[in-house]
Amino acid sequence: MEPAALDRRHMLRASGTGLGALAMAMMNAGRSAAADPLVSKAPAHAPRARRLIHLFMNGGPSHLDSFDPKPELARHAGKPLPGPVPITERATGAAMPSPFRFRQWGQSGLQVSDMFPLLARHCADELCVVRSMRTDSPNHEPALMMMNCGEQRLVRPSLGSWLVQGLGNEARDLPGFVVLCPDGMPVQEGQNWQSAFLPAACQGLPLDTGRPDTRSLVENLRHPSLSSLAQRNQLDLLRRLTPPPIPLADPRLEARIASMELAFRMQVEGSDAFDLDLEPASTRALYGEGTQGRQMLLARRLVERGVRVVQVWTGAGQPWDSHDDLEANHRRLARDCDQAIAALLVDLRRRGLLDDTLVLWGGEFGRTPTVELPTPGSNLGRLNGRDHNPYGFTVWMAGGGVRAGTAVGATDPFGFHAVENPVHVHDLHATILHLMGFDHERLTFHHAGRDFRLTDVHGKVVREMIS
Amino acid sequence: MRLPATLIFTLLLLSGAMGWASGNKPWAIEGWLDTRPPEVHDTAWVRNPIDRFVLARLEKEGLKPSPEAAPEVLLARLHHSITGLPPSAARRAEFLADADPARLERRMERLLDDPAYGERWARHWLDIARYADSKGYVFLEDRHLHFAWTYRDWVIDALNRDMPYDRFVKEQLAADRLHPEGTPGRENIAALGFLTVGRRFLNNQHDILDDRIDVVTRGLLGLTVACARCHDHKNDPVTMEDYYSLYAVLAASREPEDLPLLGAGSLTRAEQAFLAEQKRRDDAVDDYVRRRRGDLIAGFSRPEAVAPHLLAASADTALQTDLAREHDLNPTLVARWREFLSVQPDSDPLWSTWKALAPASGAEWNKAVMKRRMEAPKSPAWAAGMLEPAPATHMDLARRVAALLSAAAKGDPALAPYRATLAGPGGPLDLPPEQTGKLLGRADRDAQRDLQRQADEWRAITPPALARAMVLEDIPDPPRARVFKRGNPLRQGDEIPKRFVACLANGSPITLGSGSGRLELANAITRPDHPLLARVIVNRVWMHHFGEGLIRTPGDFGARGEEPTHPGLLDWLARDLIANGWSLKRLHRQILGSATWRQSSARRGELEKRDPENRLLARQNLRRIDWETLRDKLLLASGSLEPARGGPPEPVLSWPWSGRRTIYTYVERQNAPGAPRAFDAASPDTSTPRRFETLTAAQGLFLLNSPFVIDQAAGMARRALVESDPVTALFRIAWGRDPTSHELTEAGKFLAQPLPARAAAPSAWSCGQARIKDDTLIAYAPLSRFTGSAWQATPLLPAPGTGKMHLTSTGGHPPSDHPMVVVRRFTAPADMTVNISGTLEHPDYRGDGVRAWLAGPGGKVIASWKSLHGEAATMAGPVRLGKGQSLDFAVGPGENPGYDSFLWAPVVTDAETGATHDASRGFPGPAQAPPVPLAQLAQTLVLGNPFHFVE
Repeated sequence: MEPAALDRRHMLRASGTGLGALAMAMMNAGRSAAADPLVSKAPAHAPRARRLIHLFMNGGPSHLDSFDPKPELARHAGKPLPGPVPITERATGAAMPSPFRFRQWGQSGLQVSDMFPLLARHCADELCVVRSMRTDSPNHEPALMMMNCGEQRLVRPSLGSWLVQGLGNEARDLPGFVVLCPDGMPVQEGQNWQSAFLPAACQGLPLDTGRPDTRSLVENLRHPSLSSLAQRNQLDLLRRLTPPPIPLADPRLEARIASMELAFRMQVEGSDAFDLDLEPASTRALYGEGTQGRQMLLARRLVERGVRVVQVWTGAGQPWDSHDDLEANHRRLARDCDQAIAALLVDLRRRGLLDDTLVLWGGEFGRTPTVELPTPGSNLGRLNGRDHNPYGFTVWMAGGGVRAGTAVGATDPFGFHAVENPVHVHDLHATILHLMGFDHERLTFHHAGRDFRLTDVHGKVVREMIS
Repeated sequence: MRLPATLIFTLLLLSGAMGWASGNKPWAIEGWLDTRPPEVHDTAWVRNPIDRFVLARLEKEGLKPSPEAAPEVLLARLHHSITGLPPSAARRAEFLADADPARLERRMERLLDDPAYGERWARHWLDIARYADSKGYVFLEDRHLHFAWTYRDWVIDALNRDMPYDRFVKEQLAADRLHPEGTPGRENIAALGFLTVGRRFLNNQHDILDDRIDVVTRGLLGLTVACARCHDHKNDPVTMEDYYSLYAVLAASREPEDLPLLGAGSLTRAEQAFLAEQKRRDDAVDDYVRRRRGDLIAGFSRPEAVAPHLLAASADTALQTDLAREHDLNPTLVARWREFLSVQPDSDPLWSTWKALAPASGAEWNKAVMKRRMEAPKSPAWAAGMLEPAPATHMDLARRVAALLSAAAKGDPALAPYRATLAGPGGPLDLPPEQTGKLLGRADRDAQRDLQRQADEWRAITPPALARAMVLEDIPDPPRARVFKRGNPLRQGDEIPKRFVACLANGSPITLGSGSGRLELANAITRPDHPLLARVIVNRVWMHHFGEGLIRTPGDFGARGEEPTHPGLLDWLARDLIANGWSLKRLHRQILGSATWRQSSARRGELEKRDPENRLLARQNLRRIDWETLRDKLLLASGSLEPARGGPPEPVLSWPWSGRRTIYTYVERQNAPGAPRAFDAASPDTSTPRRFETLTAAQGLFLLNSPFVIDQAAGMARRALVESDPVTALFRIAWGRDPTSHELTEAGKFLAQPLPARAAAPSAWSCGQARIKDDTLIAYAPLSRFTGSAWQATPLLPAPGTGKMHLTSTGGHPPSDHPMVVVRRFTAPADMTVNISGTLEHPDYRGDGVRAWLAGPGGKVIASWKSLHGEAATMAGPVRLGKGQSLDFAVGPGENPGYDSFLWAPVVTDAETGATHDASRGFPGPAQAPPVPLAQLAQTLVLGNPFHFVE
């Protein structure tokens, strides 16, 4: 739309109650894709998914106790594994069988343990379980960076910020990339959702979902003492004080005024997005009480409003990191989120959102089939936990274009190494970008003398994951 | 947008004629271009040679320059360009009343002499220097770069003194070599922060050096050398040899453990006491290691520890790896055992047997043992006992040897020759005292690091925290330069000569010889016979005066970067800079004195079609102010801008608001706060040649709702109210000009129908600190600073005395010292009987937990709880409260401070009505008076475009 074609009366009308596409067009008119990376853009090819929810089980959940059954471990219980044991972070000993029971679920017959009973019962046929994941480091920090940014040490943009940069932000009244993490930060903190050399607006906005009052999560969302009527009055004055756009005016001027209008509107719509009291009691009950239910429901409300990427973390630090007492810890963590995750998938499905929303579940790595040995200062020495395992682990995806009710790849009989159809994190990234409409080799950004991409010089799309 | 075909054609012609598009070699590294200012027709327009270059192009295109902007526009533009602060109403009036035709030049001189100039332009430089006050991600260590500010202040001061630019660069690369200790100018060592304020990458040296190579080459030369870490540059003539030469230069320097003090001279008594206490604390760290030495050596002398070390010393890598998984092997000791074994004579009955069997393994083991038993020299009974009965494995034998050595140390007469083997002189455990640290295991290292962190924090936050320089110093034995194949430090190639980037050496290699080579590098970069350094800085300065550089890729002068719009002009300015002692102030004078700069920024019809991106400079550019200018302008408008200069950083948006200019606020590298990020402040991750300009709702929300903006608007209204015509005064304060009659009318209508603002209902909850003594809470004092999400006692954490003490809506951190506690207070809004519920959680798996108390009216403790790595239910009541009486929810550390973060947001329930008061939902912000109508008008002006754009 040509801003110059609008006269003052139009603008006044637009600034009243019926502000919508017009203000949006005004705002976009002042933005060229070169100068403003957040302008909504079409992907390179037809996307299967338009939004991503990444459920990040930080600390490294055990694939051997959840989605990758290994009966061989029971047969070798207490005995060393045959053959050499690869190096992990700490010393491990004999084979440790899973204390969880597996069985087949749904029409697909997918194997899931009783760690996630509700997810298994209601959603097994939605899942595409990748059992042959691999990453490069057995330590949290580099593995987190690899899973989120595709590079272990150097500062590179996160998957979420690539997607916002590549696709723009549909939710003009909400940020494009929102990070939900209760009660503090995960290890490596804000680097997990950094934009690096991409514009800061592509970065994830972290919100502490440990706070029960979700309406107060976003700062500056409400004026402490002015009613919205009083603010409307201010914006009407602003409009009257702003000269009407003339044909040759710099479009940035009008765009700024339009953005004030949108910010004003976001106070209403943004507040709504974060107000869980607007959900019917039945939906709240579906997700369950507690932090995980709250943040999964919030995730759905956000993607529903066009937020491009929502990342949901289990919690501060590295909750899934069960070097000791694995059974008790994993049971507790899974109990906290099982209902909420199942509810999220069910709810997305019944709203028709699951078809073009990609849900990714997983940690930064898996855990060893061998028991972690006592090391003073490193663990409690209880001989009932597992160390980190980057050689083979599991993630699952659901929704937008994935082959549901399947398991891709396999680890060796003990679950240490991915042996069949190994999927490196770079391959996972390439596949996610593909599902969202990009060739991972073509989504690049020129910085410091070269074209960067999420997958650097690696990555291949895993066709077996795509329906 | 695309350039018109004719223009492209002209550009091509020009490029051919000037020879900067030849082959693959980027034009920017070639020699000087023709810099003679071209002839023009309209000589009357020309104010200085800059205008000839610009006008010649315009005339060639048949275009005319824009008219000069109005005086008040020029004045605002001048202030913005030089100091980043708009003129006061008085200074503006003075200027407009001045009839002197040279009034703009005179004002320019005044502004260039104003220290605010250095503050403005230092911020531009800090973007290049990827400046931050924190290290980026750290695991346990102290996260602050406590002394980065001394570098920031050095930059401000150097720019204000108009330090020649070549000198400015040299100091930042090699001030330590330019001014040896005790020589004049030594205080310039603060300049080395240019190299050291980067991200710390969990102390990965390769990445730290890579970051420094990038800031030197891209920041100073616009050249992307860091591309050549793993392979030669794909587009530019930069090789891996270039990269690893620089790598070797930077690797030959280190940061000393004790950063040197700045500002020599006599110390005050307080400073002396500070230094003494600092020494005591540093000694405590060393003492820890010394105290542990005896225990550690005793531990490693136990047979269970000796056996695996001994075995590892004789083992191949595979076996060593296996041993390392099962035993806590210390690599230093393994090496010492290996050394020890290598010097034992073959005549020794114990060690000759050990060494004879060392290579045997697997199936050969038994045979080797048998053989040894046959051929072993006649020896004492204990020696025969080593192989009798035959040891089943190598480890068995190691255990026997360890047992023998242990018995010997305890005084077994038969083993007298081995009494001192383990810890005696020359023994494997006779470690030189200074190497004791190498014996520390993980738990010990954690404990020592903790002490070190506490000492570091204390040193940085305790007044008088002396200014220290973040220096580098050369190491005595500099490493030789070697290429890492594919960037892999484990695959090093042959030694290469250390030399300066070859393509910038004009044919003959420039070796970077003596010591680290840093000084030679500084000299090579600043040599006046190569144009690149000057071209890059001229382009940056131009960019800040026009919104766009003459080269629009200011961070990339290589083949993938853009070519200059006015190549001759760029080089003319660069040569002028060099010829005039590299004076940046002169460069400003040249640019600001040109007719080109003075043009109006208004768009013109035909021009927009011909040159929509304004590459021909037929007008000025409209510029949006950056984050720093926005915050500075708000403070200035409200009358709260503090004139103080320099010193440690203050929090950027924490209540009560710091009134310091934004360059003096804390730059957080890891978790940047929302507002600076929303307004496109430079990311400190890498050198930022140019900021993005985004437009988001978050910007609008900040201006509409942030308590900071609301308070500044209230301040603006207060200033305007004392004037005879408050509305006009307000326009002058906010928009730097008088209102038009239309604006006056609209503002009048707005004020005539004020919409009421409601004060937020006071919260029943407040936050404070207190002490617990004899089961009584005493000395309650409210916490006075609000960060936007937390209440705390000091602007930055940690702080002396109170450590990390703060409260958020869901939890917090107690103070570090007993018997101090952090307190969430509930004040009864009416007479009521209440019950208390909630969960106290200590989520950290480290530390010894936290303690909590509930105190009723009069401070009497009613209940107490503990939580360690888990949760505790905090139920109490019923408690009878009169209106205005309080309940205090206090938290203190366990026995020892450390890892004391907690979650506790109790709920108070009225026993009769069932109404609940949830500490999380009722978490208070600072009390803020609702805005009066004039303040609402002030805020509306802050929302307006004239506040945000410079014409």
